[in-house]
Amino acid sequence: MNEPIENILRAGYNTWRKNLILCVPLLTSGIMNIIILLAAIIVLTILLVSFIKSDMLFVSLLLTGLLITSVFFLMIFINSFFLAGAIGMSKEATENAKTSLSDMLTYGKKKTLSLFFVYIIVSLTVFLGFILFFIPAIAASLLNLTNIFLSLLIFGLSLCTLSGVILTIVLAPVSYAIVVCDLGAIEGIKEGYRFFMKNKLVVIFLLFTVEGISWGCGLIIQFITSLFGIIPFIGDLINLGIYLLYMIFVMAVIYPLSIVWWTRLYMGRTELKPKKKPTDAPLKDSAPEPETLNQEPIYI
Amino acid sequence: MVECLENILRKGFDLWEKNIYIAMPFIFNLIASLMLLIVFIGSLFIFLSIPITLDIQKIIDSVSILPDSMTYVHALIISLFFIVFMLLNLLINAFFSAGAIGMAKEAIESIESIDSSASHLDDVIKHGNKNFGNMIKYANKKVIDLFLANLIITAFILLILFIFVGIPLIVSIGLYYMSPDAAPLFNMFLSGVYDLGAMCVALLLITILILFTVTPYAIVISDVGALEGLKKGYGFFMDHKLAVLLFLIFIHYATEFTSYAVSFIASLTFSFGLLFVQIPPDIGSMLFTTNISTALTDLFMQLSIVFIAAIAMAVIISLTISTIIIQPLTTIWWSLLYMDRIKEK
Repeated sequence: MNEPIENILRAGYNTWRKNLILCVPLLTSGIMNIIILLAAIIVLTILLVSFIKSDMLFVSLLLTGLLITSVFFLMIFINSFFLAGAIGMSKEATENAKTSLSDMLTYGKKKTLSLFFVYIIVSLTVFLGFILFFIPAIAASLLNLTNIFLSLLIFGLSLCTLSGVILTIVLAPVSYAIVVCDLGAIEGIKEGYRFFMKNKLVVIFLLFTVEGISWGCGLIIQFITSLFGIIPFIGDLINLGIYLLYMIFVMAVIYPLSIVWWTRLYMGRTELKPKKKPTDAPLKDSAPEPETLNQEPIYI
Repeated sequence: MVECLENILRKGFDLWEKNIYIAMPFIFNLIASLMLLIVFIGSLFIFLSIPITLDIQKIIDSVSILPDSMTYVHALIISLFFIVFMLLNLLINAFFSAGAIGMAKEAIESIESIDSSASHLDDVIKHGNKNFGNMIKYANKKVIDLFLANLIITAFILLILFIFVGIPLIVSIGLYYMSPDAAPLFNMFLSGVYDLGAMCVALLLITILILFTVTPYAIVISDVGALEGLKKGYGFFMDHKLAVLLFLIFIHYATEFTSYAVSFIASLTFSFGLLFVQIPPDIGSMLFTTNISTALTDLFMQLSIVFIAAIAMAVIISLTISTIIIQPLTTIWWSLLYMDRIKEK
């Protein structure tokens, strides 16, 4: 059942319309991210100020580093929980046309660790890649070969950007593989890669579509803010409010919609069976399938 | 039979691989546009009596005294030059676009009827001649209609530009002459109006692009006139909004992606060229001294040469990719989509 992309978009949109509750996990995670960031900034400033006053520079730097790393891990953990919940909810919505917050808790509790590990593994790989790309440059700088150093620096930078783009594209289906097919972290990465290799065109199409939609919304918001920008000072305040509303809109509308689309795409084309609550019902919202009656001979 | 979009993309890609000669019209288009540009700039130089030398200093000297010696007649003739240049450019584009779309249509229609028993060389020569003939036939037939349609759209765009950018400009100049003292206040208000005007222009341009993107294909493939083509293009979009939008998004981001690849290659060239730049070891001290030594200017000269080489590389590669890959592929994709969806009706 290779659903064409237009059907995925239309059906996914309908599924999302009927389950607007999908915005809850993403909004919650967004709000918690902001709260944690604010709290971290406040604690950081207090710590730095107190330590600089008492002149223990090394300890303060160490504590700052510890604080930043722990905040980083905490945010990734919370994001994994809510993303797992959101993907699980959209999976249920695609299969059964209805979902609820209990699905979010079920899937969230089950798949948070796997998603968390995937984030960590991918971040580590990117970080290692960074170091790998810049080792020749650093070696050249130590040897004082300035022009080789500069050239290798630019080469490393371009390689970094290229690999970042490639990784984003190739590993896009990974989180969906993990939640929908109930895989572990490494299995999920492998499966996500396999999925991309088999369905390159559709994955790229969907990536472009989501990108295009967010660009389009950004354009509209720019138009509205330029409309209010005519009014000198109140206009700028109104624009600030509009930007805030736009962020909320992106988190509550565009993000869940794209998650539903990706889930539907993944469920439609994967070879592994999606686990948990296996139903015999086919994917809803596509063309109604004819009833296949079992033609058994009627014994009189 | 409604083909899904991925099949259209795959089919179009195959078709392009087998019929690379569809790049021909675009190559001719590029060459013709470049020649037109050279002729235009040359005649402009001659008209303004700017000496055509390689001595940049002489050119700068003669250009700097231009504004004093120019009269309104000069300005009128220069704008006439621009208008004629634009019209000729539109004509050349219409000619070769019509040829390309015609070739795409022939290729799509004959996709099943390729004679596989003919020898390869004969086939290539026969195809080559046939295709050049095809291009000329379609181009001759449809160039006027396509040109008129493009002209209407361009006129519409210019009208929009005039309304949203020209009128605020005229109003601001008028207000400035009326009361030069209140200029700062007006500026604050007018910059907002300019922003709004620019946004309106951008939105309207995008709308026009989306609404009338299929017009050339309607004109050539369905063999209709200019106004009919515009109406058909609009009707096609209304009937198949999702497909057209998805196609536009895909083509837009695919071209953006190739431009990223091109800048990647440019940065590789730049980093390669940097290997040849002699950076003296005491660069740190040299950068922070106040007197600019000859070594530093030498360094900047070398850096700029490498930079220009990288940019030239990027321009050449992106032009090649655009003419040989992107434009023919886009033409084939849109032709496939149009012919397929028209059959559905």
